[in-house]
Amino acid sequence: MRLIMKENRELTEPEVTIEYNELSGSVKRVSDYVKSVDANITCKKENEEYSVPACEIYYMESVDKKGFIYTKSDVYQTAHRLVELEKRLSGAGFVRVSRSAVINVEKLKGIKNLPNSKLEAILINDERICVNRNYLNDIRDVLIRRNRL
Amino acid sequence: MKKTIINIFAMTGITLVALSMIAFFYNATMLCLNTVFQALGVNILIYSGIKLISKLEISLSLLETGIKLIYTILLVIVFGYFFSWYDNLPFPVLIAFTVFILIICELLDMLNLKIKIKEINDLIGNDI
Repeated sequence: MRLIMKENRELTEPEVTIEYNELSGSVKRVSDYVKSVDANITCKKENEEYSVPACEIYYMESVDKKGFIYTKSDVYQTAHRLVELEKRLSGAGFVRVSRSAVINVEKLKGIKNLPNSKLEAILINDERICVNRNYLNDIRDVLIRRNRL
Repeated sequence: MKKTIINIFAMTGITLVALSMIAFFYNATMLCLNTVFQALGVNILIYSGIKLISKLEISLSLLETGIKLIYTILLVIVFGYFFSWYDNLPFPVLIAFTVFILIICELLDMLNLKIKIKEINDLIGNDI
């Protein structure tokens, strides 16, 4: 697959065109990724509605049956269920790390094994999220797919 | 599924080797075929139970380990009664043997975990 990037200052927003001779698995992956990256999630903060781009989300959490979305410095509440968000954003590199948390691997700095046998994901803003070992394979698979793109 | 089967057979292999060592200590000269299948059957149940307990995602890791240990020991006690293991093996030895197998499996699991974490950190490109 060749990647051609062209700067065009006349555009108001980035435009992605995928030219293919055959709609193969890798072409679909790139297409799903672009669709997911451009996704926006509707959420609320202090009774105001916001549309948060997926690329700005660091992680999402479910606490007391309420969904929370975390960006670099803000926290929003969402009516969407974590399962629904996970499915919608899986193409954009979001992966479940525990029963109540989904992270964006683009914001992942690394995984650390703690002395008490717990695991934690360290994000690029140094925030730490508990990781359950059952999801390590999924995290690895998402990273492998991302590195192939 | 493939990994599950491999893990169960690995546990069964470790069980039979450890059992052979204990049998050798008691001057035994052979293991019965029944024992092989009994070990396989019990290991299938142990592995399945431990997987289910892991899915509960208990926040305290010590508590999770304790539950897994109690579950395994209870299973061995019950099957020991049904398969008449106590005729050939003293009860404390059987329990110690079970704990030993669990420790081996836990050590292997920890090693596997370290490998997975390293792989993930390499894919990210960071060394944490």
